[in-house]
Parts: sequence; structure tokens; C-alpha cells
Amino acid sequence: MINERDRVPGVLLATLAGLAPLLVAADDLVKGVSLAGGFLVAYTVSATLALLLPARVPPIRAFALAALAAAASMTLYTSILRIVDPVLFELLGRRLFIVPFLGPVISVALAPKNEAARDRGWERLIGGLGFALAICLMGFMRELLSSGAISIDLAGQALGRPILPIASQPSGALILIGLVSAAIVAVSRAVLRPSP
Amino acid sequence: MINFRKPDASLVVTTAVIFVLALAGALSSRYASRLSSADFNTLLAPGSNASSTWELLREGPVVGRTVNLENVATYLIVISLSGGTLRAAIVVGKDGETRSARVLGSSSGMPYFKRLGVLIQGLGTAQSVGYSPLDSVLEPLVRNALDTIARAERDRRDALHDK
Amino acid sequence: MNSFALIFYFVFGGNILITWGIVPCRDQAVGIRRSWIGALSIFLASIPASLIDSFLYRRLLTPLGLESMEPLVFGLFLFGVYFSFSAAASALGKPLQAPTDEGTKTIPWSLALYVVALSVGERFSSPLSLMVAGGVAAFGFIAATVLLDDIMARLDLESVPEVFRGMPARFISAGLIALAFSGVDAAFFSRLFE
Repeated sequence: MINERDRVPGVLLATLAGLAPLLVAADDLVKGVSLAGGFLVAYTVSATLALLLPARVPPIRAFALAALAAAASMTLYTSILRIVDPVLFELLGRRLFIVPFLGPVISVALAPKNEAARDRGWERLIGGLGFALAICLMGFMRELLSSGAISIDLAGQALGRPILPIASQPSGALILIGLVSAAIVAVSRAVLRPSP
Repeated sequence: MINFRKPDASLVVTTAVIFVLALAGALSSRYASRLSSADFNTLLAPGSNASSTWELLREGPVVGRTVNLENVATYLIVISLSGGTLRAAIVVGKDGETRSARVLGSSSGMPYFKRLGVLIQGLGTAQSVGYSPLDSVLEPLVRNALDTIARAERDRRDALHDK
Repeated sequence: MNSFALIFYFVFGGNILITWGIVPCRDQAVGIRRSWIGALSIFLASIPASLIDSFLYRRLLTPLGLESMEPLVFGLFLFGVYFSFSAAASALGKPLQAPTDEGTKTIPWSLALYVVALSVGERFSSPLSLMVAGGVAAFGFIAATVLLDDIMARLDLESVPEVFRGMPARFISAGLIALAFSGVDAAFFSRLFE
């Protein structure tokens, strides 16, 4: 039987694996914020709809509707992004298209198993906020490590001394995700240590 | 007699919400498409917004091109290298040869991107860009972009000729 | 850079496992190893997927200025296929299993196929190139998944620190594969096929 000490990091790591495509794409702060925004929109729409649809709706239909609503909201988000910055849309568009089909978004499109889970639905929404923040942080960290500075627009690269240029590459992102995962496991085990 | 079941109100409302979202997405997408054409025109040919036409290509590194009234095309390229991208505007002649090039921005300060910028800036000019050990990696990327541009320009000229 | 260079590029430097971060979990990798039918299905499905996605995006949505509708169109296509298969399976007396919480936590195979189609569509536009590159990209993804699984199986025999066991080691290994593959990038093949 899986205990709480293994379950909590297990769920977080699985979510991190599902978020990996966005974490790899977020190689600077601007992209991180854009991807996090897209994720938050799709995740929130999907989770909200799954919670609002009554239990009498067949689960597979509720799932399909929540997932399609997330996809529809993403069309709106990418259009707005294109209005704001067409170059950013050309660079990121295809990465944003996959957001409604990522594991964490699809996962919250499933209707809660029972009433107790439905009552705890707000936890899902807060979780989405946390994941979006993690994507932003990843963009921030990778840009800071790779260029030694942070730029807030796409037009120019901030002047800085590169600390760890590999951080901007997909390999650097995957290694960074691995290290963060290990930190999650270590912290979870320390916090959830069974009392003697 | 066919027995029609009354649809669940929540399903009808949800479907309507999705439909409205999709409609808003479609309208905003068309608006964004028109607006981005104007933005790309300004980016590639500043000051000649009204006299240029933007065309999306999305062929490898080539995003699209603007053509001015003198029938001169300027291509927007985005060269992706591990860890970032570099954007440039390339003005081409009749046969797709490069007349001039301008770096529009880079998303990375790594030496690879700095050298790529130098290589692109030197296109269409007589001045030497020197030699760097990084060139062996960067030159095929630049050549690929120029080949794609030449192909696209030839197709455009052929299409004009056929009209 | 010719088409051959780009096709090899999809197996190495442009492999979707590393460039898009599509890292399958252990069970999925083991599933691919145990049954070649799964790997073959992904490979075969990627060929029409690349063609269909490119047709929808380039010929249908782009001329109308509706590029942003791509995720919705894909979603409708995906659920259309699912409900068609579900109806057919129910008619045959073997109803499909509904999506489960565990099954959606990581990388769904449909997402991997979609990413193959998107990454190929970025580079090619001719139908033949799309089909070949789609198949090659799927092959590269399956090969990288098996390679990663081999590394993980070998790591099970080593004294890896407890906190790095499982997913953390998987990501770090994927990162090291990415590092190795990125050296064998498009420029290398471009020179090879000159």
C-alpha cells in the first residue's frame, strides 16, 4: 500500500512530467510568462467546467466537454497573444497548441470521483496557479542562468555575463527539472517523516 | 414513433459556452491575422507600411515576406539554434540573391548567436566577416535559410510571370 | 540543407523527446518494449497524422486567418475518433475503457502524435516529405524512449541516491541524452549529405 510519504511526491512528479513540454519551451521569462498564461487559462477552464457539470452527466461526456472548452479557450488566448506580439506567436504558437492536451490539463477535465472530491475542487484551481507560477519561475531561472540577466521584451537580449549557458537548451531544462524533482522528493520526505 | 429525450440543460449551456468561446477565438484569430500583417510590414519595411504586402510562408526558417511597389521582396527569417532564436530581415534581388540583411533581434546572448548575427549582417556586403570556429555549425543554418528564400522567391517570380 | 539531413535531424538533434520534453513514464516505455504493436501503431499513425495536421493548418486554417483554431480542430478530431472507435467497440461487445485519473497524469500517446505532426509541419510542406519526416520523427521518439528505458534499467542496479531514484533520474538521463544528441544536429548531417 502506498503511504502519504510516497504519494504526495509521486503526484507532484507525475504532474511535473506532464508539464515538461512547457518547462522545456520556457527558455526565457517572456516565453515562461506567455506559456504560463496559456496553461492557466486552459487548466482553469477545464477544471472549472469539470467541477460545475452535475454528477448526472455521463463522465466521458463531461470529460470531452471540459477538454474541448480548454481547447476553445486556448484559441482565444493564442489570438490575443498574436495581437500583442505576432513574432512571439510565430515562435510559441505551436507550443501553446498542445497545452489543452497536456497531462495536468486533461487530468483536471475528469469529473471528481465523489462529492468529497468535488468539495475539494478549489484545491485543483489553486494547484493550477502553482503550476503556472512554476512555469514562470522556470523561464526566469533559465534566462538568468544562461545569460546572467533578465530581459522583459523579446526584441533584445539583456546584457549580462552567462553563468550556465546550457540552461537555455532543452538538455539544461531537463536536467534542471530532474534536480527540482529530487528536491521535491527530499522536501516531501522530510516534511512527511513519520513521527517516532 | 421516435422518442426524443429532452437534453440535459447543463449540457446545452456548456455546449453553448464552448461555441461562444470558439466563435470569439475565430473572430479574434482573423483580427489578429490582419493586425500581424501590418506589424510584420512595419518590422520589415519601416515607413512603407501602406505600399507593402505581407505574405505568410512558414517554410522552415522563413516566416514570411513583404513585397513593395518596386516588386522587391524582404523575407523575415527566424533561425533556431539549441537554446534560442535569431530574427533577421533579408532583402533579395531578382534571382533570389541576397542584397542586404538586417538582424532584428536575438533571444540569447551566447557566442553562437553573436557570431550568427555577424554572419547574417555580412550577407550582401563586400566586407569580410572573418573566421570563427563556430562557423562550421552556423554556416549550414544560414545556407539553409538562404536556399529556402531563393526557392520561395523563384516560385513568387514564376507565379508573377505566369499571370 | 537537404531533406535527408532534416530527416536524420528528427532522430537526433530534433528528436521530439528532447526538444519538446515529451518524456514518457516508466510504464509507457515498458509497454512499448513489451509489445511491438504499440510502437508500430505510433509509427504508422504518425504518417497520416503529419499529413492531416499540415493540411488542416496550412491549406485550411492559414488562408482563412484561423491558425489559432488549431487546438480546437485537433480536439474535435481526437474526440471524433475516440467516440467513433467507442461506438464501434460497443457494437462489437467490447466497450473501450474510459480515461482514468492515472492514465492522464503524464504524457498521453495522442499528445506525442500531435507533437510529431506539429514539429514536422514546422519544417516541411510537401506531402511526401511530411509523411517520411513524420514516420522518421515517430521512429526517433520510440528509439529514444527505449534508450531511456535501458538507461533506467541499468540505473536500477547502481547505488543511486534515494531521492534521485525514479522520475528525477529519468529527467536527468533524458537531459544527458539531449546533450549527446544536440551534438549530432542538423549541421552534422548537412555536411554528411553535401
